[in-house]
Amino acid sequence: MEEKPRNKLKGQPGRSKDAKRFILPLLALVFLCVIIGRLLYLMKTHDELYRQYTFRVTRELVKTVTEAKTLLEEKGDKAFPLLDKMKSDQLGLYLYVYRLSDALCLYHGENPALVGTRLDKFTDQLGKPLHKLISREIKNPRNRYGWIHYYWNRPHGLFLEWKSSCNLEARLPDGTECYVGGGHYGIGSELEFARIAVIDAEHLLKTHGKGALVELLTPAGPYFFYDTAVFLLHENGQSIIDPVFKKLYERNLLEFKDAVGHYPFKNLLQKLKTETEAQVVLYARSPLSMNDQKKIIYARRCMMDGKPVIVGTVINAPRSAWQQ
Amino acid sequence: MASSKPDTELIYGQNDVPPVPHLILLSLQQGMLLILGAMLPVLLVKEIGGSTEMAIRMVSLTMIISGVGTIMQALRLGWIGSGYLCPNIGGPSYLALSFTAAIQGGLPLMQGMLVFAGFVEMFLSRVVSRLRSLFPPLVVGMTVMMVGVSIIPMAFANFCGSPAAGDEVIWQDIVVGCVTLMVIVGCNVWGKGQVKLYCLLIGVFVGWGVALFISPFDPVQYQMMSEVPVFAIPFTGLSQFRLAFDWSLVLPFMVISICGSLKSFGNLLAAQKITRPDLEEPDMKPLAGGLMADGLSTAMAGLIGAIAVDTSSSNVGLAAATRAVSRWIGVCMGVMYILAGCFPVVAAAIALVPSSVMGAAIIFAICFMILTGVNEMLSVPLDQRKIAVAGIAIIFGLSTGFVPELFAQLPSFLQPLFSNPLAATTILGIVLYQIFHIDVNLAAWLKKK
Repeated sequence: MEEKPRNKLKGQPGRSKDAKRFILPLLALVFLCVIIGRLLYLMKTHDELYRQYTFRVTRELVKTVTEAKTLLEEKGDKAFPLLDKMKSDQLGLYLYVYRLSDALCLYHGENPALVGTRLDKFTDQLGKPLHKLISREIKNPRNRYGWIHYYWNRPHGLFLEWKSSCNLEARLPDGTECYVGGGHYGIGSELEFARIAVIDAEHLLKTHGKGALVELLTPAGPYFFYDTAVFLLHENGQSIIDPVFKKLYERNLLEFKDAVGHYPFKNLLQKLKTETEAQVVLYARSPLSMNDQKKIIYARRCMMDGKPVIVGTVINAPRSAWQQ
Repeated sequence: MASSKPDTELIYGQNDVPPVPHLILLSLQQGMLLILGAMLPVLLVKEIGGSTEMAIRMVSLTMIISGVGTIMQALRLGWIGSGYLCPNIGGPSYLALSFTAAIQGGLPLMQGMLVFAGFVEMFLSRVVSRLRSLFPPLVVGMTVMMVGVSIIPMAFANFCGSPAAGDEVIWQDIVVGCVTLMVIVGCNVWGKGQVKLYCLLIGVFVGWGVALFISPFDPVQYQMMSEVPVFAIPFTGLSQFRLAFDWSLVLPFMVISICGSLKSFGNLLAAQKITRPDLEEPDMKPLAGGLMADGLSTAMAGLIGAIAVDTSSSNVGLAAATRAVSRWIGVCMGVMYILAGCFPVVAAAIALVPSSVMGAAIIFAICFMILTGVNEMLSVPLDQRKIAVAGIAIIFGLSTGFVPELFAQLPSFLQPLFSNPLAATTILGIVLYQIFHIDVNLAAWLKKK
């Protein structure tokens, strides 16, 4: 193709045309610099990653509660107005602060009328004593963010739902021991929740032996959450606490075949021969969908009264919204 | 720049070679849209509990095979390829069944079944030219339209930030998605010259910029950059080529291969319609070549351990929007993808584009796909028969998306046919068109006799 002669016209109009040609690339360059600058700033200033959590809402929750703890420890009750600002109607997130010694409500982001009332007698619909559970979990080294799960209805809601709350111990400048927390409904597919429950159950079995079974079985305890519970197997696949019936029930799970013809418990036990913890996938048939429902079994090998056993739990696997 | 006559409406016609800077930018723009597809292996590896290394290798292999497939498609070497800008992508059509095969028999079974599915598509490509009567403009239009409709769930979920089911949708993602969409549409509608040509690229960068200022920063994503190797040849040895076969999966894979072929057929038809708008009826030869290239890419993907690749609807839509349909853009994009497959860090960097930005870009692209289909459907006068064919096929097709639980009760061998709007609409459209025109066809046949 023949090249057109450039700058035919001499003088001002030509220069103006030339200048115009550089406006867009210049703007693009400025924009790119701003973006790279912002990115570098964010990379330098970001907080802890919280990589163990799948859901963004969980990471946000942990981040918010952690920030609230710092504020409380720095400013004491002067931090309460600041906690109001951390409330998110969009995420349905609010914070609360209770005194550790007597469960007295010091601050409640959603319902200020609760301030001055006590939580110590309060239980959820399954009978879980919330203050007792929180007091235990904030000191539990295996549960770094004091997660507890309870069955409750949303504010002004009618139906019961599972809610998970993250709790951290805080000491106010005046020496008051308290805990600050916040919760969210329906984040049950976090593998971290399964991991916490199973590791804790392992510890309980190691220290209490068979005596731990009562606590593992109670729906009011920390091992029953999101309609799932901790199960217990012998190394030969014989169940002690059945994963489906959630009670003491003996049957051999080695021959259990899932919806796609896999033997998940057989695979699990195979993996646990060489490893202390393992996770396998299980597919359950769903009558309302062409796709089978994916679940994850997370389990660990441990000792109960000197005998090796397998402790684990089954949770729904997280999926993308469009895969649903 | 040499331009063929029918390309007068286009900025870069089928055989035009854009100047190098434009070629690179247009290829990058097309490549951006494919990133979501290239990241699909991560879902598969997560599903089967594989390692991060496995996920990186599979993404790299999928990028390489997408690149090879796109080049084959664009170059049209003998009877392989269409000669159109119709890029290949990690195909969502095969994803669910690939999950099943990988779960049942590991990656060798998935690979073996993909090779089989590729051969089925290659066989179909040889007979498709004899089936022209099955694809009147009405059916072609419906197929093209439904190709766009079937990717709406993925596009919209991404527009909303691609949350995991149960996670919250945050307003920042919606704002970023809306800004991106508005910038792309604004540049495309009111922009001139290069602004119009690079509307998607401009929109993506503006959207990304806005996201960095308003969206909660997710350092986990950016942290991945340091974990990905800069350069890696994704071949681990002969064990990678291990194939397995299971007779119980033959029928589902055959059905999904037919559905995948129909989708690719729709994409190729749309690409033909955009590239050669003067054609009054489909030119079946390049379409057959396109299907052959698509089948060969799927078989090759299976052989080397990538996920199945498929032609990309959104890229055809983008070509329609920018009116740059040069097949050399496809060749350049293919080379870029092959290189990116060997430099995982590049792929990881592109994958940092926020989901809502990608969702907006895909929504923009499928607008053109859907409307190209509607235009094609309306290019012939609609009589009562055609209205019945189109209406029934579209209603039944869309109902697979609206009430999937009802279709879940079908016998399992029929389920793949009614698993998404595209397959159901196309198959019903073809069958109903023939049934409702049986008297007309019979009369024509008798007259001919």
